[in-house]
Amino acid sequence: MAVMMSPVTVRPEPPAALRFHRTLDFPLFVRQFWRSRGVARALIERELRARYKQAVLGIAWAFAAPLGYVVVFTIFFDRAADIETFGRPYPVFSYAALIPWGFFAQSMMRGSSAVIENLTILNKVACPRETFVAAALGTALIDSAIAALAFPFVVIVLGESFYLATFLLVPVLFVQLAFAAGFALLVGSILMYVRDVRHLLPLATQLLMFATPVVWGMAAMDKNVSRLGIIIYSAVNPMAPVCESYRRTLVFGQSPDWTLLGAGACTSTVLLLVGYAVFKKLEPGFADVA
Amino acid sequence: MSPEGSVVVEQVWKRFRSDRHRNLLRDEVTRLRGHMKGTGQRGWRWAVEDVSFEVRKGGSMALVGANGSGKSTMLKMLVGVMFPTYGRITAAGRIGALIEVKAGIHPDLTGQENIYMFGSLLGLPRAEVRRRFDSIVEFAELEDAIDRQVKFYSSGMGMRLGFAVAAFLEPDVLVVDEVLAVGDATFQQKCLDRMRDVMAAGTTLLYVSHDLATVEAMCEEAVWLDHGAMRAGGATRDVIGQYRRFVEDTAKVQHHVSSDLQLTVRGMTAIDGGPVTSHTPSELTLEINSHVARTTKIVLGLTEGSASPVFLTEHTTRVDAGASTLACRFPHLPLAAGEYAVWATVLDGDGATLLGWSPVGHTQVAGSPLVPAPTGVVRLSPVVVNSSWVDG
Repeated sequence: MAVMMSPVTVRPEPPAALRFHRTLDFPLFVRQFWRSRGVARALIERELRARYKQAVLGIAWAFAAPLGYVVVFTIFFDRAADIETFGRPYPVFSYAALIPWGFFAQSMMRGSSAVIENLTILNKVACPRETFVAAALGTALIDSAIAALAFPFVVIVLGESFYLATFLLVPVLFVQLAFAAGFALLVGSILMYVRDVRHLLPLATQLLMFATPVVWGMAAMDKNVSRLGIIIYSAVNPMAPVCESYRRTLVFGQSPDWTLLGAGACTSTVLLLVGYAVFKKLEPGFADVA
Repeated sequence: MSPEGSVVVEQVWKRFRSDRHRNLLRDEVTRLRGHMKGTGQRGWRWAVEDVSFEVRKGGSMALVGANGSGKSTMLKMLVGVMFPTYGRITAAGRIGALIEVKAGIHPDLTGQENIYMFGSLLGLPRAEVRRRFDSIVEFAELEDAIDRQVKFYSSGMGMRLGFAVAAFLEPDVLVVDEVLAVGDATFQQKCLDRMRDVMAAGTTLLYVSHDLATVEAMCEEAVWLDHGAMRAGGATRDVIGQYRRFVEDTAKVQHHVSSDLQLTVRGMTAIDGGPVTSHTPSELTLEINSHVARTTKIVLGLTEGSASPVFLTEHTTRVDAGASTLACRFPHLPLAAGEYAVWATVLDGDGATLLGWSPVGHTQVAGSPLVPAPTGVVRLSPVVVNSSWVDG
């Protein structure tokens, strides 16, 4: 190799061969994530402890939100909108759907902002960034599990019965988790670069709630919408079959509508994969814009 | 495969955005509009340029350099928090990072809860934290405060808590970034002792600090970064020497501007005519150049290159207009062999500054070398004092 003798020091060029590229190696990502589960656990614990430590009412706050909703819904929607509940009391009818919705709304808000909220830790602790999202989802899951504990009381007070079909919710839970995780990963990674979009989240949550059978039953659609239309709707909004499945199993003792749930499951899976891929692709830049 | 605890950095480059970019949608829209008109430019700035070094297992390496020279960026990439734009970093084994210790600490939790929390953030299993819990509390000197919420801690207590957890991590590579500054002198020494113990157990140390004395005390090797580029690398004392000279030169450029009085060093010689060596009588000759005749007070010191002198001497005299020379004699110059800078300030009779504290020249001292300080012991000045030992 010829050596050029020059009085001016030539600025070296970065080695193009050593350009950093994030390759999407999912098995590796999952292994790394699993290794950092201790961090997720610590974050969940920290969040719950800090939250319930300060609050005088403690755990009661977790009940308060869904109970409050049920009261308001019962007073307004039941009376004013005359919703078809097929003979079940409206509080039970709406509470059943509020359990998954409460989880989704919380995951949407907290999960999407999980990385931004933890910027100080992000810059100092090396762990896969989805750990923060996972911790937010975990917190939301625990919160809604606590909220769900109030459901049996409402059922007993209103003289309704419990059904074995409740156990059919296990696959529903997977769809619900996949959709929430996919959404939080996708939106969360984009939020890092366009942060003001974060202020749209509460509005989006509100709007989505009315587009989902929470205060109204999906059965109401049968009259005006074709079966295909309902399947497409379930695919577009997987929270619809999820909420309706909770209602069918908990309130009516029926099994979920597997076709609709399947449509929702497909969307959720795709969203989870796309969300995870986008998140991991953008992840190396998070600390730079932190 | 390199052994656990070794660190290899190959041709690492890292760039950041340099335009005023705020990660907001409305800024992106503005930028996009500018882009279409052809005015919006996306600026990039290299924070680290072509840095390569290697630390063997159990070794210790310091990164020195001015603010904004890319030291912390480099550490963040080593820890794995940031990713290089170009280049490769291989750090084998578990990395324990001490980059701003209070980061993982939650104010609403008690000290005890925070120890578990912070421990798991740093990758320590719960059982391990439990095993070391008492040592951590003892090291942090927190006593009863451990059951109090951290928001009621003083800043020193929070810092000690953070350092204590990290110090008992026992990682393969310990990365420390300027964290000792908060503690008092006793605690700082305790931290240095702990770092030395950890190193003795085979941990590799990567250390960033502006306190060159602790750098010298802790590290065998050093890398000097200047605006992201590597200026020097090698044995700590050499690198720090070069860095200090650079600091002195920069200071000289900054100071030598307007003044109606100049002071320069003509030279320093031993009185017997030979080179200046430790403990031989020597003489420093100065030239003072004043526009008017006046009373001046000269305060002069010898430094290792930075602004902090090893010792000071002062002299009040009346100078005539124009150039005059004066000499300062040292019957016993207690300095170790090395290169020293002469810094001085000149005041007038009323105490007003005629010449600010600035480097006015430098000199070489031959003779006695310094006794090497044990690892973890900070030597304040390169002074040699004659001593004799009596056995028995």
